[in-house]
Amino acid sequence: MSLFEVCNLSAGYGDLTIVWDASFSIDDNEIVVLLGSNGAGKTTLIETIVGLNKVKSGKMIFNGVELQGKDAAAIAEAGITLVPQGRELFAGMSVLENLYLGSYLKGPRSKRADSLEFVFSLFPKLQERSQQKAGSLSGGEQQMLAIGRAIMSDPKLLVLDEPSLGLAPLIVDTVFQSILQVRQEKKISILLVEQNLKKALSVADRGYVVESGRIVLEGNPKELLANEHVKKAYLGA
Amino acid sequence: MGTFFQTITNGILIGGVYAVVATGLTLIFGVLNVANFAQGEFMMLGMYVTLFLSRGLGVDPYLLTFLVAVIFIAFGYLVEKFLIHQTLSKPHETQMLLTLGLAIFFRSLMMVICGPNYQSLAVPYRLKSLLIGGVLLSYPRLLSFLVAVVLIILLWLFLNYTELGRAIRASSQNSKAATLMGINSNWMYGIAFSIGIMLAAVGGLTLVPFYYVFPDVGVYFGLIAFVVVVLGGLGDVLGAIVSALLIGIIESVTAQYVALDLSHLGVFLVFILVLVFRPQGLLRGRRSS
Ligand SMILES: Nc1ncnc2c1ncn2[C@@H]1O[C@H](COP(=O)(O)OP(=O)(O)O)[C@@H](O)[C@H]1O
Ligand SMILES: [Mg+2]
Repeated sequence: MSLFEVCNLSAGYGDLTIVWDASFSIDDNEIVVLLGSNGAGKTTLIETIVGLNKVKSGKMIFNGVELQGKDAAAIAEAGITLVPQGRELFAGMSVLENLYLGSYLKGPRSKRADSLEFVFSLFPKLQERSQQKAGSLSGGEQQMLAIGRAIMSDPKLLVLDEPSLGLAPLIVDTVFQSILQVRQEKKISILLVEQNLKKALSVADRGYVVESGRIVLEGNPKELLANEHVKKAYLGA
Repeated sequence: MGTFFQTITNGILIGGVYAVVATGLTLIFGVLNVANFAQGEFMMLGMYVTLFLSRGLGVDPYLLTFLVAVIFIAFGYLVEKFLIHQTLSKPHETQMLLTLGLAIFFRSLMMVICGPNYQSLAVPYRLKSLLIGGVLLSYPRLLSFLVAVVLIILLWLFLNYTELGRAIRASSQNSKAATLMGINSNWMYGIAFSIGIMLAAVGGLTLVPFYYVFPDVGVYFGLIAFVVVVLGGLGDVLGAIVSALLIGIIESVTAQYVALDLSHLGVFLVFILVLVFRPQGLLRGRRSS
């Protein structure tokens, strides 16, 4: 069985259903990418996974434990951490305090020193700026901090919602490189949400395509890039 | 010149109490996003509880600080859990009406129990004072200020140097992100509210040796707390402390140099001017936030 299994998940806001019947899975140490254009429902889907939205129906099984209906704190405790779209840093607090907050829970707190060392080796810029307010960092540095903060919580599954959004191409490369490095060194699984299809597929093992709140396609990067529908709808061919 | 320093000193001493009550208000606002219109009434309850305990046990009110703090942390926690919490997902008007309702309820309750009389506590040092550099420091006012300062320093240390304090600040800055860190927001709401209420009550305690206790005593203090919080920038603890001292000084200067019964007018005049010209608060933008 996979590390994380989502079965027929439906979710939305109030009476409104946005995500319909989504099923997908992630294996140990795998990078899976969730592709889709703006408004497809990607954020709604993964915010449901981390407990920010209520599950309307369906199941989520992580490490053999059912997570649907659990709150965000419990899901964080189970080992799923989200790097949210728009980063959501604690803007008025220092870089270091943001990182400390990533390891607020008991388990991660006991590994705080090691995690911090790892984050600083991954993003030396953060160490240089550790006393600076998070809100005063550049966009790229803020994204690094958001990722670093998530790593501090020592997750088994790291979920990133459009980490490349609004960043210069060079910074995007750094961010994707760091994602690969985290997978390699921490031996964790990664769920990456992206609109930037080519870039995302270049680091992913498998991908799913989301359209209008439904998962419509699944495949490895080669299959997806060769798919006629993908070519037409996402690659402008 | 002597009068001037005396006036400033008086302002700062009462400003300490304002700071304590207002810090509680801003903490509650920052974390729960609730404007607690009953802050002044919690202060009033703190005064009555102090008065009764002090008379009943024959203990100096300032020695009751810890006990009163514990009582009101527990009381605040219950009020949050059973009343405030039920309205957090509702529109702001609901919370406003709830806290306003609580304010009226507490005032009426004390009116029924104790009547409208002004009560006071006779402490042996009531009229004693210290003379330093030509400035008279009345004992009870000085003690009140010292308790306020100690309380604020403790709060400062708690918020900045403990895991829990950091989590509270995180919830106040970005509750969604705090939730993602595994911080239990319900727990934060309970803690922030109970600390906020405790600050109001202990602020009240410090007044008991030199101020009358009556059911409506919290009205003005509650209002002042709101002024202080708005001036300091909503949710900003340091801003609240600075503007509380400022308000104390303005009040005292107006009373001394304009007219005794116009002291409130000076405060609200400054308040309105700030609202018009610096609606983000006095300190916002000066510090990077
Ligand atoms: N808080 C919300 N309340 C109601 N509708 C929302 C909310 N957030 C997003 N939506 C709607 O859900 C749909 C999917 O949005 P989203 O999940 O953000 O898509 P994506 O992340 O793929 O761009 C959009 O139509 C959006 O308007
Ligand atoms: Mg999105």
